[in-house]
Amino acid sequence: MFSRTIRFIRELGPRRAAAWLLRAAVAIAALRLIAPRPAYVVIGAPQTVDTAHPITCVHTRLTDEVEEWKIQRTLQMVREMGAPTIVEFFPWPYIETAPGQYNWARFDRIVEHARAQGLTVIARLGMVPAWAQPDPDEVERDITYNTLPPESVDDFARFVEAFTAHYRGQIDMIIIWNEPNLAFEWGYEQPDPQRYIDLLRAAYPAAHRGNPDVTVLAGALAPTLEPPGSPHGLNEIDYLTALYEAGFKDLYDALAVHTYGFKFPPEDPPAPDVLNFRRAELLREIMVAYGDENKPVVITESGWNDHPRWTKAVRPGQRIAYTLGALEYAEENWPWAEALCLWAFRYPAPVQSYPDYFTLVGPDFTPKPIYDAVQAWARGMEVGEQ
Amino acid sequence: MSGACQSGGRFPISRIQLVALITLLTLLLALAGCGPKDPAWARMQETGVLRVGMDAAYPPFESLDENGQVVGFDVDMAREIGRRLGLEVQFVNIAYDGLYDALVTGQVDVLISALVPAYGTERARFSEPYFNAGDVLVVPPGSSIEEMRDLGGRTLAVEYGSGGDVEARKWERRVAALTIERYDTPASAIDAVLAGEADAALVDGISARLAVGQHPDDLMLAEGVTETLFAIAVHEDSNILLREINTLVEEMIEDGTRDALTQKWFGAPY
Repeated sequence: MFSRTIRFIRELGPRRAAAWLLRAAVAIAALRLIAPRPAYVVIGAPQTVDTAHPITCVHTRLTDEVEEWKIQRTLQMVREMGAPTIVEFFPWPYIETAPGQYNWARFDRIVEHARAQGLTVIARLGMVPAWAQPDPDEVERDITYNTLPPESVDDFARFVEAFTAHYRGQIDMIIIWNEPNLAFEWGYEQPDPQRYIDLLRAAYPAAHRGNPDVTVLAGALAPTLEPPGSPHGLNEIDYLTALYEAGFKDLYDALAVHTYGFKFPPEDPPAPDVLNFRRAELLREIMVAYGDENKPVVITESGWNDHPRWTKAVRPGQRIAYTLGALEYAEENWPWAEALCLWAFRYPAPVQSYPDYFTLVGPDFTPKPIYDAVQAWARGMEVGEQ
Repeated sequence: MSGACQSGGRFPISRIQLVALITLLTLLLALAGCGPKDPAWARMQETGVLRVGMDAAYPPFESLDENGQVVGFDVDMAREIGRRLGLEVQFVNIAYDGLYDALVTGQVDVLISALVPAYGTERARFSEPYFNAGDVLVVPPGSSIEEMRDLGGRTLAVEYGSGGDVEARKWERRVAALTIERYDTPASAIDAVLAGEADAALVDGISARLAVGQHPDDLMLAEGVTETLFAIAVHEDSNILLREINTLVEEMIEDGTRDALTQKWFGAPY
């Protein structure tokens, strides 16, 4: 290719070649002039969150957000809504791209913006880098980004230690793994509670080695009715009980809880065979039964969905009423709950299915009415006040 | 004449020409195998059956009648597609959450179930849209309100928290003295127009058309304000089927089939 180019230039002759080069340079310069420039983003002066209800929290989705101004705008809107806390996902493979090789820049920027908005960040840690997974050619089963072989558990723990050390003083709450009672979260392997205990036995002390002041949240169990032996998962009541029987008590500082209302209003009473908002109380009962009543709970995922067709969704007006009712209920009746984080604040792009109807803000930053309603409640505003 | 193959005069071409011909034929055969593969299309041609997946719990697009048969706009649409392709249509009723799994695993050939295209997914490809269910202004006949900008000084009814509510909040900043009244359901918002409590309602295109169909003398459709497009989903490998469906969707829009189905199932124009 190179020699053909040289031959082409020789055939053109020096003057014509120079003319062509000049034209190309002008074209490139013109293209650069008309190309949109990336938005110039400055962190700005430190802000504080104006809130009347500090229990308000949202789970953001900034992991896959590319443009920095969108990260900043998201976090500004969280602050303006009156939520002082966010949960954000920090995938292990995005940071430790090779063993012992950490790339923090992308997440440093998110944390910097969050702190500038006066937000407390709870970091969810999970996912598995390819280098820590089995060679797909050497195993018969499928490998997913959640496949964590036992021999890589110590690698994960080393990452946790590096994470808590790096963000010491900036992020003091982390969640170890996500919904470990689902097969999906283990690369479609049986969700054995002992595996999660083994993970915590490595990660919990590692987190404290990196940052002695860190609060390690564990659990984050999926609300599900799956019975023992199901290939899909195990209901969180049985799973949490099994965790305690295996030594869970010494391996966490606070329980992360996922609780969704689905079709039920927030005050619907809890029952083992019902998925509703107050199901969180059943998990709290297990904590108390095992002597962990002094440990707090953080509701790291919650909310309702208003998709027009999803069978577990409600009408948009119900979603707003139920969400506000849940915040009020938790604040009044759950002194053990430090925060209630709504899933999810905003997606970078629509998925064109029911998950879009969990969000408070559209991908274009248009606030949905539920955003305005939560803002009015969280900030103690009269309706219509901004 | 070197290399000629003329023994007995039976092959009036040279050996080189013969080798070239054989090579060309081999290449053509190989290329025939390299064409766009569409397992669903091949199976449909073999069996003469088009298997349509839908969640029959979304009237008037698809639901079960008193005999347990699927009926609705999408059902008729699927039958018409089958007729034009010369295929028998079989319907498979699948819960909404499982529709794409059924398509990916080859249990059905297409999904015709009022689906909003999830472009970019690896699980399916989507046809050109055949229906817009976005928010529509509904007004009484003779109203001077034709579009959102005419709402200055007027009262607009919406379902609280809905897409119509989001849009109304935007227009509240664009036109003077717009009053927004919020109701629990789209039907309640439309009832407000019927009762004279609101000058217009902004509701989803399905509720709007159904209301106009039920009250043709008292309501009419005005501006379509937002887009929520429905399309047909096929397996990601179904290149031929997608091309055929796109052609038919275009035909059915142009020849009035889509409008006729709208009139049949909503009692209102498209």
